[in-house]
Parts: sequence; C-alpha cells; structure tokens
Amino acid sequence: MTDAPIRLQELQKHYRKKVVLDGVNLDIPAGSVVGLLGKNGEGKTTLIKCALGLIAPTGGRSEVLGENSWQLTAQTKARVGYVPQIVQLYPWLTVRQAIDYFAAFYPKWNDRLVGELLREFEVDAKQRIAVLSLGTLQKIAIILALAHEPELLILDEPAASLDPAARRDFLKALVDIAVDGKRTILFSTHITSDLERVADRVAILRNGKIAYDGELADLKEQVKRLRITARAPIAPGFTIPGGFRSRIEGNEALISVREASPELLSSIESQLEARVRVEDLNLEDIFLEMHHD
Amino acid sequence: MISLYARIAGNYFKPLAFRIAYCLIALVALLAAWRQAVAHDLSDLFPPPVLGFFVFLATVILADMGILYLKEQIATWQSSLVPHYRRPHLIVGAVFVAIALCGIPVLVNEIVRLELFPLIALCAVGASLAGWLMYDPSIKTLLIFFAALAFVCFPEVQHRLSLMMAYPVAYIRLIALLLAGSIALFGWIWWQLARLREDMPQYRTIVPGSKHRAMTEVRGAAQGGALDIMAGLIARYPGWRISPRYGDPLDSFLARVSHRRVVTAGGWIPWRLGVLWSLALLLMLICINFAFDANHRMKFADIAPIVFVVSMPAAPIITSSLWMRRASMLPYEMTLPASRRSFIRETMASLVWDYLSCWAGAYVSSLALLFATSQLGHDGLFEILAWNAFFFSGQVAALSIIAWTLRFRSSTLSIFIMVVGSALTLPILVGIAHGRLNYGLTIPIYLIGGFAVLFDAYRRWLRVNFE
Repeated sequence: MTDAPIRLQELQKHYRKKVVLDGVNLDIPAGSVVGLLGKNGEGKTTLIKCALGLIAPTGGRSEVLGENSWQLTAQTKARVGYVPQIVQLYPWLTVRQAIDYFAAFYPKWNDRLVGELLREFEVDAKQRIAVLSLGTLQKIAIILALAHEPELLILDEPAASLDPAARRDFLKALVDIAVDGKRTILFSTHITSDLERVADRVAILRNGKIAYDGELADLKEQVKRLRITARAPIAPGFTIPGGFRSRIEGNEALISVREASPELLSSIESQLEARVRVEDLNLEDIFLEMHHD
Repeated sequence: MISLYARIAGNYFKPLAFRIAYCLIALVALLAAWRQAVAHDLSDLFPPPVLGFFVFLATVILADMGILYLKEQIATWQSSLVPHYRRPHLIVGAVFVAIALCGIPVLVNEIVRLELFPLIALCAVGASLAGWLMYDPSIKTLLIFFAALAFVCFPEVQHRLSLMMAYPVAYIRLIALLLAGSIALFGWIWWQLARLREDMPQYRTIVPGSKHRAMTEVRGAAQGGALDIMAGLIARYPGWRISPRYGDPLDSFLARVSHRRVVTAGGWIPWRLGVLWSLALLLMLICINFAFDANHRMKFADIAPIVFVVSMPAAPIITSSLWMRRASMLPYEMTLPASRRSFIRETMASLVWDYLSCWAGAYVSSLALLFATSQLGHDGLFEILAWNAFFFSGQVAALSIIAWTLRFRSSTLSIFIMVVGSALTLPILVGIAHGRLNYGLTIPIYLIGGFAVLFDAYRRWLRVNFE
C-alpha cells in the first residue's frame, strides 16, 4: 500500500479569475479516515475532482495511489471508490441493471455485500432509476463505491441526502470497512457529527488553502476558547498570539486560540489581571470559529 | 410594474446564444445600410427563394429560441409559487416572439426585396410548428413537424408558395389562413405554458440533457412514457450482455465498447427508433400523396428523394438526444476502471456504433420500402448509388459535429452549433434542388471534413474536464 494514497502538492485550480484552490498541500496517510471540511464554495468538490483526474488542475501536482491523477491507469482506478455529490445514473435502467452494468468493469466485486447493503438501505433492485429519490440514488452510489472493496474511498458529501436511518447504516458500513486500517477514506461533509463519529483526521479548507490538516483529536485538544474576565475593561483591539477569533465586551472577552499553552494563560492573567477559563470546543464549534470573518 | 417587465425582458440579453444572435442581426442591419450606400441588391447575387429561406431560417430560429427560453423560465418551481410570475413572463415572451417574427423580415427587406406579408406568414407557420416542438419535444410532435417539412418538399406545394410570395394580393386568403393557423397554434402553446405543472411530461423535456432540472423535479414526470419503454427494451435485451461478470472483467476493446452500449440496449434503442422514424414518415408521405393525387396512385419513385431527405435527420436527432442524456453521466463513468484514453476511445466508439445503428435502421427500412414498391429500373442505378453515397457522407459529417459538440455537455450550445452547421450545408441543398450537385466533389469534402472533425473531437475529448 502507498504511504500517502492521496498526495496534493501546491495544487491550484482557477476558473478564469476566480481562484478556487490556491496551492493546496495535503498528504493523506494510508489507513486513515479523513474528513474534508470547508464552507460552501470553498473548493471541496473541486479538490476531489482534481484528485480523481476528472478535472485538470491549473497548477501543482495531484497523485492518487502513486500515480498522476490525470493519467490514472485502469488498475489504479479499480482500487478507488467514489461517491459524487450529485449522483446521476441512467434513468432508464433498473437498480439491478445499473449495478450489473458497473460491476462488469471491476476485476473484484462483492455481490454479497451489494445484497446486504441493498437490504440495509431498503432499496428495491427492481425499481427504475428515474423514479428514485435523491437519497436513494445516493444509497446506490454508496453501494457501487463499496462493492469492489476499494483501497481508497473518496466520498463527496455522501450523507447529505440520506435519512437518519440510512445515515446510521452508512456510517456503520464506513466504520466496518475502515476498522482494519487497510483502507483510506476521504470524505467531505457538512455534518460534523458524522465526521466526529468516523474520522480520525480532519483537513479544513479555507480560502483555497488547507487551514488545518491533522489528527481530529489533536485539533480538539489544541483549539480552545478562552473566557477572560478582567478587572478593568478590555481594549477592543486586544489580541493574543494564536488567537483567530475574539469577541470583547467590557470586562469580558471570548477568544478562540489555536493552542492554549500554560504560558499563554499565565501571560494573559498577568497582563490583564484577569481570570482565564479554558473551554473545550466540539468540531462544529471549531469549524464555526475558524470560519468566522 | 414597468420595471418588472423590463427586468424580464432583460433576461433575453443574458444567454450567450441570444447575444450571438443579436450580433448577427446587427451585422445584417449593417449590411442593409451598406446596400443602400452602394446601391447593390443581394437579389442580383442569389435567387429570391434562397434569400427567402435564409430569412425564414433566421426568423424561426430566433423566435423559437425565445419560446425555448420562455419555457425554461416557466418550467420552474417559481412559476407555481411566486405570485404573479407567469403572466408577465408569458407577455414578455409573446412580445419577443412577435418582434422576432416581424422585425427580422422588415429589417432585411431592404436587402432581400421580398413581399413582407407572405414572408411573415411563412415565418409564423414555421416558428409556431417548431415552437410546438420546443414545448413538447415528443416523438409525436417530431413526426408532425417533419411531416410538415415533407409537405413543403412537394413540387405542387412549392409552386403554390412561390406564387403566394410573388402575388400576395391574389393569395391573400391563403396568407390570412396561414397567419390565423399559426396564431392559433401560438395561442395554444401559450395556454399550455400558462398551465404547465411539474407532473406534466412537457415540464421535464425541455431539451435532452438539460442541466437546469434537478432529478427530484422530474420524478413525477418521469413515470411512464419513453423511459419505461427503454427500461423494458433493456430488460428484454439478451441477458448475457448485462449479466455481471464478477471476477471476469471486460478485457478486450470490443467487449468493453459492447458493454458500454448496454445502456442503449446495445444500439437496439436507436435502431428501433430509426426504423420507427422512417416508417412513420413514409406513412405520412403516403397519406399526403393520397391527398394530392386525384387518382390516389402511389408514386414512390417521385417521393424517393423526399424520403431520403426526411429520414436523414433521424440518426443525428435520435442519437444526439440519447447521448445528451448520457453525456451528463460520463463524469461518473470516467471513474470506472479505464485509463482516460481508453475511456474516451470506448465512449466514442459506442457513440459511433449507436449512431450507425440508428442510421441503418432509418436507412434500411426506407430503402427496403422504396425498392419493394417503386418503379425504379436499372437506368436509375447510378443515381441511386450516388444519392446513397452522398447521404452517407452527410451522415459522417453530422456524426462528427455531434461528437465535437457533445463534450460541452450543453444542449443549447450543441443545438446552436448543429443549426449553424446545417445552415452551412444549405448551398449544397440548393445545388440538389437545381440538379447541379457535383457528387465527385461534395462526397469527398463531406467525408474528409467529417473524419477530420471526428479526429479533432477525439483529441479534444482527451483533454476535457469532467465537471
């Protein structure tokens, strides 16, 4: 297995004057489950499509399983599973026909798993694609992506249209395939609770760059919110090293920091003659704090 | 209220196709001014029917672009939920079509010197028929549309129309009849648009492969109809072709191309549609022939060229319609195990195969019927061969345009390029009409040009972004 199944180096993508990806550097370690976070329009789908070789980057380099993304061989593609954000399948095929159509391209295909997932997701294989809801289409795309047991699974907002039961089943399936540590999963999502449940790493995309890339536990360990209560009013422009969002009101300040070291805390306490309380943040809070302009 | 209407009217300046059309019209206006300055008359250069046809084509295209765009605006959830949405849109759309129908003939009359009222009446008939097709692009409407085209191919009809163009006063009743008929058809289209709902099949079928419609919006409309027939055809298709071959991947080029064609039932869908197309049109021609010939005699030899001409668009229209739908699925298919080069080769080969299936369906069925019933002797053999070679080369040219434009995955742009491409072949059709077609020159040009464009399309597909 390759050390980094996905390796992006200074990856750029421009649409005329609009810069979507502005030098993205990202190495996704083998066996990890990485959640890609970012606001709408930050370029998550563009990043995924560049990695899959669907679109050509304006600059930089993208590699998947050791191969240039733009020139992926059939053998490498057979080791990759993909769930697109918008699933489009041939409307005139039935679910079974669509599955069989895709199955024929793969050297390995676990039809038992397909049957199980169809049952778990409650998808009728005899139904025609055209009459299915977006959520059911997404379920089929997930089945198609898992059926050949890929080494690398790339999912673009896979649970966006799923109902709670299907989402639970999907996350369970994801955990099941990730548990042996042999598969690498990259998935973009807005649902941070899903990400917290299955991801061990997180990459946050902001302004066309990777703002954070690392262990999810480290992120939650590092990023804290400081609640500062001073004796005198705090100056509105008060800043601290590593602080990325501050709200100051009279004697009170709420400041989010990348790392709340003991030195920093004692420095604030002595500088402002203040009491500093450190608050833990969940992933959603961290995301909101990081994306607040 | 005025600003609302002005805002809606402003929409007709936003799409690229409209801007290009306005630029072309401005160019023609400049040409008209230049003609006045140098006292030239285009009628010295081209015969009036050719000029008239160009004006007719431009007017009908612009008017129907307006109808198509109006439908794009009406077939949305806003038209059902936003208060007072439909009426201003329908009124602005009607004004746009009226301006297009009257404006272009008036604008270019300085150059073409044709009688205005009969020209406007003909444009209105063409635009209303094509507009109906824009509103309801079903096989039924398509057949009626091409039957109307076939109707114009009859010498008697052409003669009557040319008399109407030359002596409008003597044919005032016919002009009034054409105008009244087209206004009635426009009225019907507008009435249908005023009550268009999401569960109506017309809501969905704007243009095949349209990216503006979400799947949930078309779900209701997708029940039943052509898609069910297709699903049934595929279900009846020999099982081994779609049976999963677990652990036995498709290794040869031919096997992979063949498998990629599973989604069109291995070409059986285009083939059957091609046969259906030709047979239905032929049936209509027979009916028209009955209506015209007092003795009700069948003269297939006379209508043979018409059948060929009418069956010619079968493959381009049916295949591009099927493949426009398929084009939106290609990004997903691109992630299946195949290198970019293999994927493009296999996909293009599938397109060519489907196209040839459809063409063969239309061609063989019309040819078989013609030979079975006509009085053609051996004297006409060279002409028959020459016609066949000519139409085959035309099919290659049309296929190359489809392959070239398909990569944009934009139906509007593809249709626009195809219409412009077809307009460029007009001089050749005029040559046919005057019996002055140089087969020895035209066939190689079509073939070489077609294959060159096809090769260029392949090279461009290799670099295409699958957004």
